[in-house]
Amino acid sequence: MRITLISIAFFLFVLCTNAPAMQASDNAASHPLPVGSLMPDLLLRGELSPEHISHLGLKGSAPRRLSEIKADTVILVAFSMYCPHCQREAPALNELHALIESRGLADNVKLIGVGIGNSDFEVQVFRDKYATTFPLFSDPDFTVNKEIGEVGTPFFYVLAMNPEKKEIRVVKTLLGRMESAETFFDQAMKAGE
Amino acid sequence: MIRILPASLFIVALLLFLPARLPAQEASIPAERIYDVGQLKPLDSTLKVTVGDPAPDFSLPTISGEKITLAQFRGSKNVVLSFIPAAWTPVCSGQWPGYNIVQDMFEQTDTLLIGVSADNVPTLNAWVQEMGGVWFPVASDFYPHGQLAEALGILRSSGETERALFLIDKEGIIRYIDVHDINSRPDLGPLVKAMQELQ
Repeated sequence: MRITLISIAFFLFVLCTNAPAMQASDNAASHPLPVGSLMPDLLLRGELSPEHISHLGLKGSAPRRLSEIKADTVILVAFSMYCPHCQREAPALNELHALIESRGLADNVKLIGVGIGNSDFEVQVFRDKYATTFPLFSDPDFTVNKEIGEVGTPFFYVLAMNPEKKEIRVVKTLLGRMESAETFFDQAMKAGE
Repeated sequence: MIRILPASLFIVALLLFLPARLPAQEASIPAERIYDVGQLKPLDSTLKVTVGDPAPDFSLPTISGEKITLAQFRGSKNVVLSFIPAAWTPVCSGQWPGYNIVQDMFEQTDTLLIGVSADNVPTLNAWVQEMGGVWFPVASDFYPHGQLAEALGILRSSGETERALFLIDKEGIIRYIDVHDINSRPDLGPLVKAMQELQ
């Protein structure tokens, strides 16, 4: 009996002291759009390379709407150059992008990043520092972030695109770093089915 | 069986939670330790210097235990003073970690970044350590309270400093000033451009 109590006490102690820290720079005002809700047709700003414009199926340079991206699924990552978690997540984001390509889904699934509160310059710093392989947009005045629920960073929205109905629906969200690119991607694809 | 179950439980708990514990050591400051100051008056001081003026010299203690002066960099380094209003507050805690990934931009332009606030050294040290450390010196303008900030004209009536950036060239002349809305983070772009123009 005594051993049982000690074991339970130890179990509770472990629970209390080792609660996993959220790998995100969260903010108190955050109110993410719930799964199942509609995502506004965001105005995406920033400088994209011709390759990325072509990859996303966009007609020309900035500005452009989220709905203009040619894809069945868009994975939108809200990040910030200033967020240490995002800095650490950068290689995993490139891994996620590579995974989409290696599974032959590059035409259907598009990964984009939005630099929350980041100017074009700051987004470029992130792009250069981490050799980011996927398109990054800027959000210097937090306009996008207000529309997506003032989320902490990194924050992932998996979006089902439906151009016929002219709607974009949230199918999965994640605050904080991915457990792994592969696990997240598998969950994202399952959520979009 | 009764004895085996709890033992199994805590082994499972250890397996589940210990891996999560490890990355926490490199995490930035947990949200509950950040003091939300709400929306503040954007500016609450009157700038006393302008671009082209000589910067006031200073001698401030740093969190590494040494004093830092402006004079010691005369003729050798440009200096950026990054004033943040207060440790443990939201925007400040999100500003210096960004500078952590642009050390090369400072080095390429022969510029030393110095972080400054009117907090005392132990507070600044605890906060910076909690952020995982920064590559640049962090100095305290605590006593006489806000003396450097007062000389520059960026000490607020509350005793905190403005959120401000000063670029000082190797001759000790102020070449760029951004006294920013305290509620938002200054764009890094114009500062780096000003640093590059000193080359």
